[in-house]
Amino acid sequence: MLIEKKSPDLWLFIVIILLMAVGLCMVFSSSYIMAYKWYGDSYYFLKRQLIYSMIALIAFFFAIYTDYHYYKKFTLPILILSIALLSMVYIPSIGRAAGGASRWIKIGFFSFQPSEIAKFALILYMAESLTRKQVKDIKTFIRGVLPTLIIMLVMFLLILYEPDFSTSLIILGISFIMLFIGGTRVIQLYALIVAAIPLGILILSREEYRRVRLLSFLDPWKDPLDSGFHIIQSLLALGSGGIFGIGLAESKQKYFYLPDQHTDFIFSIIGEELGFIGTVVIIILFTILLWRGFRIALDTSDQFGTLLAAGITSMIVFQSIINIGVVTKMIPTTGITLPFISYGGSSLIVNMFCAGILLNISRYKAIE
Amino acid sequence: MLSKEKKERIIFLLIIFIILYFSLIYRLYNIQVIQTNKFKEIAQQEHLTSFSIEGERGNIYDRNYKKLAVNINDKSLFAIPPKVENPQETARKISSILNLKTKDVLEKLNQKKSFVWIKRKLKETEVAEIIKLNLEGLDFLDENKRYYPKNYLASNLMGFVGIDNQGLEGLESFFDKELKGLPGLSILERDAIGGKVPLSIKEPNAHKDGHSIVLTIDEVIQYITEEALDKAFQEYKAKAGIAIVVEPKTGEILAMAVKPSYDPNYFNEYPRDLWRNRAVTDAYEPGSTFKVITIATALEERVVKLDDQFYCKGWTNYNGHIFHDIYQHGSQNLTDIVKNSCNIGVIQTGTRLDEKVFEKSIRRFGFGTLTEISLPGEINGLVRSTKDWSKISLASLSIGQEISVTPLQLIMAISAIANRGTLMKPMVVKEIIDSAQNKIKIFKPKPVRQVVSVDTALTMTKILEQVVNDGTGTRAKLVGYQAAGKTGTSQKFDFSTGKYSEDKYSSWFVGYVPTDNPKISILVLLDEPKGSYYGGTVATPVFQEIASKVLPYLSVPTN
Repeated sequence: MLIEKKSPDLWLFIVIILLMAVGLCMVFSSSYIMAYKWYGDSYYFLKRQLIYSMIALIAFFFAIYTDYHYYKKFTLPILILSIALLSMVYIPSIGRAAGGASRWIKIGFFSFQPSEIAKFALILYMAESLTRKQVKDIKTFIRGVLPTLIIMLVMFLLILYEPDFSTSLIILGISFIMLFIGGTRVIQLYALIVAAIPLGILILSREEYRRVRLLSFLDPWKDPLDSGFHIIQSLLALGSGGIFGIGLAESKQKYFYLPDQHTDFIFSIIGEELGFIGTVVIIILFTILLWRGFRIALDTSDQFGTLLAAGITSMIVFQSIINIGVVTKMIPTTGITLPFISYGGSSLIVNMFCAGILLNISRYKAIE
Repeated sequence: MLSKEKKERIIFLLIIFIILYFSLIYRLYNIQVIQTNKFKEIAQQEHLTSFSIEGERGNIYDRNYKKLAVNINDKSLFAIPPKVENPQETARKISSILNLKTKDVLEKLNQKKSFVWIKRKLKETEVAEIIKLNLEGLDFLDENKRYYPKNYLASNLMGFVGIDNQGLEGLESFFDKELKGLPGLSILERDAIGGKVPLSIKEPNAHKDGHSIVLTIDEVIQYITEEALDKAFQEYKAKAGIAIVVEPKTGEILAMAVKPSYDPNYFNEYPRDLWRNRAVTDAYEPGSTFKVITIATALEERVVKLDDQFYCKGWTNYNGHIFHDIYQHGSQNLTDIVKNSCNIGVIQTGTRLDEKVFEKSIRRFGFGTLTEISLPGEINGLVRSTKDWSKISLASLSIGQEISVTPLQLIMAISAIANRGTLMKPMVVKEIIDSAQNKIKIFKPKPVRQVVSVDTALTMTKILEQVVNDGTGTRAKLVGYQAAGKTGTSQKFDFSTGKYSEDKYSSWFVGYVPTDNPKISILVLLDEPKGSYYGGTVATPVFQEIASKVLPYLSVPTN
């Protein structure tokens, strides 16, 4: 078996750059009215997103040209660091609260969401640990699943109590997918799902707003001005876009009808301005990303690369499905960003870094 | 090397993800293609606030196109209740500025509506204070407010409009349909927090401005009339005062003054009973002024001749009822009995008439029926038919009792004498013009009927000249103009006692000038004057003052 070094996957590269470019456009288009209203500067969010994009591109290219095997050595430090950062959110002097939740930590001028790093740390850890273990270990619960389960649970709870229900859900999903690809027995995975059900009920019932959200998902028109507001406005935005959309920057829903129009609900604005064609193009881009990402996972020469590639791809894809599922009212409202497109530095930088790793993995191909 | 199991699981996952993506696309197809119209409609309803833009109300002009009623822009305060951050606080603050009850304001702010008026048409100071507060969820909308630049002038005639610019009284009410603009549906695109999005205002259904009306009223004559009337009204502390100036040939009302009056800009601050136009809404016993009708009818029916002699001993017995006079006028001819306003002589003349003939003549002069002037609230007055008359009714009617007339009816009847016996329909509006100043409608003078012959009318004028020259109405005498007229002092009928009141009178003067070619006829009525009450003392000088100013104004040549 030889390992050949070649240039990174072009399809994937183009898709990532396109997604980021669309993101920049749509962040500006969706935010300029609001930015002007609240900050007196239409370019407020665009300027920041441009800076984030620059940093993200640096991380992107850094990852493309850094042999992904190096990360193996840093698995544990990164894991410990990410858990430490997650805990720091709860330290009042560092943690920065926004919108009733402390999901941020602020170091100097820079504030970021440690949960974004945690997602990557978890994938890296699982890829590494599942590779390290023997096949028979993976198939046992104690040695194969439990360690992962504990790490996952720690992260899950830390993020859940920020509170950031959505990201903690992503953590769960990633772990599950990683276990699945890693070779965990299907019966154990079933058991995990069954075990998760009472946990889920507990979580939902403890917080009134989650229950309300779930109920409003079932019938948003019952309370259109309050709990159903987000989802109705989102559907109105998408629906009024029609096939061709009402034109870039022409959105009416962004005039404060649709909250979080530049973050969690940016896809609705895309749907309104660029229509069904626009939304399908975005989904096709993500589908190409999915296809190329899994292709890379299948083509790569080693287990670690496969798991890392599949994990990263799944994370991005899973998050995009959740996000679009929310805005189209296929699943209950939960705040999650659309990878590469939504406004936000932490997620863009981490996602671009991960995409870079993916492209780096694509440079190594097993030759029989 | 990758195990077969891992490969399968990755492919399985890939398929799951692809299925999920396709279901998202299907879902989007459903929302964006199949249901797009439904969502578009809902979104549009939400974005677009449709409101009707009132067409601007037409102006009211006097006959020389002087503005009597116009529109000015006013600001009205509304709230977007969901955007009001602290309703309690907001209600407290704005209610004190706007003089409203905090409770009421709070109730409005707590309504589950996206739009609610707080107060319409604010004063400038109120607007400034509200702006200073800089409260969330409150905003202003420009609205037209009716403005009467001349304030009191002709207010009882003009009337006023309500908060929605709907005509409520007077001409504003009668011509509401013409004056009122047609509302246009206007659509304002707005954002969810109610700010006006700098997009577009569409008006798919254009509004139309209302027509303006041009009155027969002459602002200057109206002013002269009101000033003269008010002087007497104040001097004699009368209950009410009415003065009407008519052009006899056309029936055009040149002035119609009512006291007490009100400022239509603030009509709410005046008691309701000051709003009406007493010249048409109230009826009075015409008293001696009605003797003109009696004598004219008698002349027309040839039951009397100018040189017929009458003897007044101070009282007369008619069908068992004693009618009194204040003087013993002694021997008089027909002119004398009118000149002296001799009850006895007039009763002697009037009772020569057939009851039916007299009633018919009274009605032909326009009493008992509406003049159909374009004013709201006009009443018929009371003219009973002969079958309801008592034995003495004929005599009573001869001297203007047992009948009630509106001041307008009376001056139109007098004007008929001035107009060689032709009764004209009173006109108060000359033209209706649209917003582009095109004349939509021109009202032409309309003769109602020939009430008496030209001869009778001219003879009557000769008699009435003597009233002014040498009779009860000498205070109506004018320098350079020959006037004709008749005074009247009627005791008011007290409905609580069923008798004529001892101390409540109406003082009248009706007349016209110049007699050779009458340009104006004038009615003056002072209701319940205090102190003096004779028509010749109280009302007649008002006629004189009005005529002496109006005639030169109209450039009527002196003789």
